[in-house]
Amino acid sequence: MTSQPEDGGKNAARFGVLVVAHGDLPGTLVKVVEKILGAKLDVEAVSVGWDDDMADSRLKIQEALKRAGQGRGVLILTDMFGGTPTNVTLPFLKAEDVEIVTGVNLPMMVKVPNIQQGSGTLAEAADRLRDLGQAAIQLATHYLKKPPGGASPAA
Amino acid sequence: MIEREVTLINALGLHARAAARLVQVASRFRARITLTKEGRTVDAKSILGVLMLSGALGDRLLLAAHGEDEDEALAAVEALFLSRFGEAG
Repeated sequence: MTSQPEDGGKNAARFGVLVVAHGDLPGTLVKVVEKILGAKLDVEAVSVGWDDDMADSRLKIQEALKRAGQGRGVLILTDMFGGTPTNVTLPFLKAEDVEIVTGVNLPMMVKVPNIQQGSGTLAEAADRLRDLGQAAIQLATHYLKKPPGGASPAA
Repeated sequence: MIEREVTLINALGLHARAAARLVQVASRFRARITLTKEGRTVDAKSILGVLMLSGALGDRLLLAAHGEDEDEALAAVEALFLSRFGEAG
């Protein structure tokens, strides 16, 4: 891949990012990644509790979407396809400038600043983030036993 | 292209924060910078690539830089390894 700065670069982010997940997960994901990268993320986080009222959750997401957007497209990252946080975000897909990627994980989150600075459309950014998240899931024994000289991870 | 062997001397090896620091430093240079461990080569400007090396204390890696500022790039990245990525252990 072509190398891009991982420090957020100098330009304003091209996309907003909103993480929607169960319980403490979204806020914790953001905090952990900020600790790893040593930089603040330009990311909104919304927690959806099991007992939360759906209408309340929808309203919280709507407001966070507005804060994350500010005239930009927004990439929504949710924890699990079929789960409430994903389901409650699906109606927002009607907007043209929203993409949803499910199964958010730490490898995806550390690439968020790159994705926000990268080129291409919002849909392409969503594709890329999904691919990165999937490629980073490994069976450690299998990966470590692979003969050397194989393809290097595309990250 | 220039290359040099470096050894991981910090207790936690190439863990997430060390990898992030490495990528930050490497990304300041125009040169292509790679790290190779046991035949597996990754881009030193990619945090997920660096983490895939699963570098641990004592591992020896081949550091290579290729491009106009390769000397400075190699020196800066090597200095990070030598300074234990700024970590205590």
